[in-house]
Amino acid sequence: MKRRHKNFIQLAILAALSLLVILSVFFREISWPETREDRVEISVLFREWESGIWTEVRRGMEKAAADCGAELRFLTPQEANSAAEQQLLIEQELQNGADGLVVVPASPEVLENTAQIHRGVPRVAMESAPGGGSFPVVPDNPGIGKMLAEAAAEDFPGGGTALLVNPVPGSGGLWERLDAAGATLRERGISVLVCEGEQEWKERIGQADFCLLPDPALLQPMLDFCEEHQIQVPLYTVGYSKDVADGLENGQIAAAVVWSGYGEGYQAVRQAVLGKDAGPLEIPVILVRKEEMYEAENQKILFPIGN
Amino acid sequence: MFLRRMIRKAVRSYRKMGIQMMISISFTTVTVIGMMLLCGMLVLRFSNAASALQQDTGQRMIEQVNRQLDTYLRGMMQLSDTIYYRVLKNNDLAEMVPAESLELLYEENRSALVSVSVFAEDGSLVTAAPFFQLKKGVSPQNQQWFLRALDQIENQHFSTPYVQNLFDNGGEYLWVISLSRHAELTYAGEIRRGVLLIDLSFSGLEQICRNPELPGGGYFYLTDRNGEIIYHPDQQLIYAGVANGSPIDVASLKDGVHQLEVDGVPHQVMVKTVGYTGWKLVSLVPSKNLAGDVDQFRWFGVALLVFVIFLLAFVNMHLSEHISGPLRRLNQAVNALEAGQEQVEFRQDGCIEVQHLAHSIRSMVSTMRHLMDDIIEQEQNKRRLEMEVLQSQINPHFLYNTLDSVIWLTENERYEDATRMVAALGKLFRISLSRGKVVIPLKDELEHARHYCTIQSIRYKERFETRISAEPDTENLYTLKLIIQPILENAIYHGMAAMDEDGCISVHAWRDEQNLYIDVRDNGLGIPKETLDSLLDDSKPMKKSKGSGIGVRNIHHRIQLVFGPAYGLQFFSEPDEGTLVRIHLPVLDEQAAERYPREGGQR
Repeated sequence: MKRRHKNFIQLAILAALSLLVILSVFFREISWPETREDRVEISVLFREWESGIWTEVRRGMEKAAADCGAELRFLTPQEANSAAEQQLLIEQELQNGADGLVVVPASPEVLENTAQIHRGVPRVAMESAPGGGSFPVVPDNPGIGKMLAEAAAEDFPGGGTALLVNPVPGSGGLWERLDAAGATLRERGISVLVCEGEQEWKERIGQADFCLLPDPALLQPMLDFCEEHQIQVPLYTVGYSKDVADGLENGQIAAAVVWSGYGEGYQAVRQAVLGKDAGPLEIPVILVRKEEMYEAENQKILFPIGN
Repeated sequence: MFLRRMIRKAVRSYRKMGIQMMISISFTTVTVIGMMLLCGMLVLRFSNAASALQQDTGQRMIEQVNRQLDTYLRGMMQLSDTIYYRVLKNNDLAEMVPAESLELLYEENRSALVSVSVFAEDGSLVTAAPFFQLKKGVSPQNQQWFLRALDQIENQHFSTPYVQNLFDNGGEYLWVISLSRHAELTYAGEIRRGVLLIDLSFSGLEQICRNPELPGGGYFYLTDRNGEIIYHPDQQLIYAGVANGSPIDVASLKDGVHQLEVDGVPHQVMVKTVGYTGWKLVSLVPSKNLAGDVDQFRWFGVALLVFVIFLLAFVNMHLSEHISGPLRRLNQAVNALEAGQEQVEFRQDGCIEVQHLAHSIRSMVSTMRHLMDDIIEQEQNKRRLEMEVLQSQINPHFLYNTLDSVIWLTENERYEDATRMVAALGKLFRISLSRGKVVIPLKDELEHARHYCTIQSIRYKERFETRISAEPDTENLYTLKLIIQPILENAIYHGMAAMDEDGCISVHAWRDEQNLYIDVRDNGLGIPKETLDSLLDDSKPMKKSKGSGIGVRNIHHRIQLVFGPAYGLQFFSEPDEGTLVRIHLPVLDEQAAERYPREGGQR
């Protein structure tokens, strides 16, 4: 009896080992099944999409998703820059099981509120760094504002009046740029007018010697308005859109601080997939004027290459 | 030291192993070593072959991409030659600007081209296709391609990618690679310097480099001879400052395959120079990825090896059991035989040699048993014969002496004594015969002693008296016959001969648990010490004595022959005090006495 039991155990081990041999033939398929479940799902929530400035950001995000094995869902509030709607969208995505969030917050509270409920899901903030445990992938906003202000101050050494327009009053990042710019301009003896709403800037633009836009979304409406009302106001703006390049090319933009939206989008998604603090991320920014825009290093950032 | 100790221990254990374990371990060890060597060699061979195949594939791909690039670029150079030699050289530009020919050539190659243009030495546009005028404020004469064309007039020059800044492309900012050359332009018969520029679409070049997928997650990139990136799959990330540019110093590498560390990870790097341009086409593949399939094969090999090892161990265990089982059973049977077990079975199974061995051992054991039975029988016969000889030694002497005494008594007219002696003799012999029994009742033996003493007392003229007694618990016991009489005989001859009617011989039987003692005591002269020591010593010659001539040694031997060495005679003697001879026997009842053979070997 004991002998038969022993033989049975030996045969069982043999069967298990033969199964191991068979499994090892399909080792790769078993070890790395490329199933949908293995892919990280990242939800990307812009605050608006209409201005088209996010095209390059999205391309960079898609490149990162391909490199990191992530799946992206792009979402935008129906009402541009609506914090409440964005908040709802975020909640909805988290309930649907998103593995990570990349958010261009319409308001600082959007991510801070989420952080208290969904602690385990990595959240990446673009444009503004609201804190609350989210990973910021933002350019040096005060530095950008300062660079713009210094460029304007160079063009207006005798002083003047600057109109600083924030098209997204809820965006902390844009305010950081404007605050830094305003401080620098005041230091240089330039009067500063700050406005938010569309009506306000339209009323005040005639009083200004130049205008400073911390976001390119307002660029085209403003250019159109100036052309319509034959107002000659040099613009100082930021961004990585074709409108900025065009504006520089035709002289409507006196100077722009540019950086690669492609690189910014890439780093944001990579950070979300990584899910932990990868340390300080550097997003190089440069100031470009019309005469410098075709310089080798400037065009690398200003004009996207490849498909 | 430790290894040596372990080896010794292993050798010791090996020597102590059973045949099954020895066969099993030996076979398994040899086959496992063989399998491991075989598997190792196969994996190594497969790894090398897979790596070589991957490398070969990579090399073929880089050559293919290089050929495509070379063909593409040479095509553009041929276009440049065509424009220059067939269009520009054949026309006097003062008379006619060959815009139409240029347009035709452009249209023919428009998928690869952004523009074709000719500039005068001062940078003014001579002609272009598909554009007709420059953007405002543009200064071609300051651009790099222009300067190089005029600087090195014998060559055609390819630039690195840049955004074209010559024409209004309808709001498009196009990345181009410029092919420029010095051109001799004829104006009214006068030769003037100029520059022919062909702007190649970057996307054409990008398509050639991006499409082929290198095995193992590798990629191609293209640099100029100084290592500046022309194409890279992460080119925009590099331009954005997010990724690094060329991770290696391409300019210092010769064409061929190199094993280099890139960001601390070993990579296989292949470099190929693209013909005329001097550009370097580089392929990078992580070395570990080259052996991707080998990992799977290794796992398979390991799993197969473990399976085969266990299978071999399993088969070897059973095979060795099959071989050694009969031997082991044979060994167990022999051990049982050695331990004294009588019924031992020798199974004849297993291979023919073992069957033969078992058969031989069984035959041998059978023969041995027969021989032993023979020996035992012979030994018993020998003992019986010895007994009979010893007993037969008594009768003739005693009979002779007694009859001699009867004659003597008769001659001296002592008829009453003679009658008494003859009567005692008759009873004595009747007991002696005891119907052939060797073991007789103690009372008969004592009766026998009494009759003997009666005879001897008459012979020795009543010079001693005899007292024969037995304890009550000895009444039904048995004893070897004719053992008291020779002792009495010795006591009379050696002890009583010198006595003057005050001799006394007593025979007393008593029991102590399972021992029966018969003490024969006399008050004679006693036995000297040296004689006493040699009485039962077989190594010393037996002293001749008077009487029947039967030594006590014979009695002693008879007792030991029948009952074993624990029994026999003991002598206690003091000079001038007397002698005590103690006969030590086992307690035998009637049933036990029946087991002892009769004279002649009958039971």
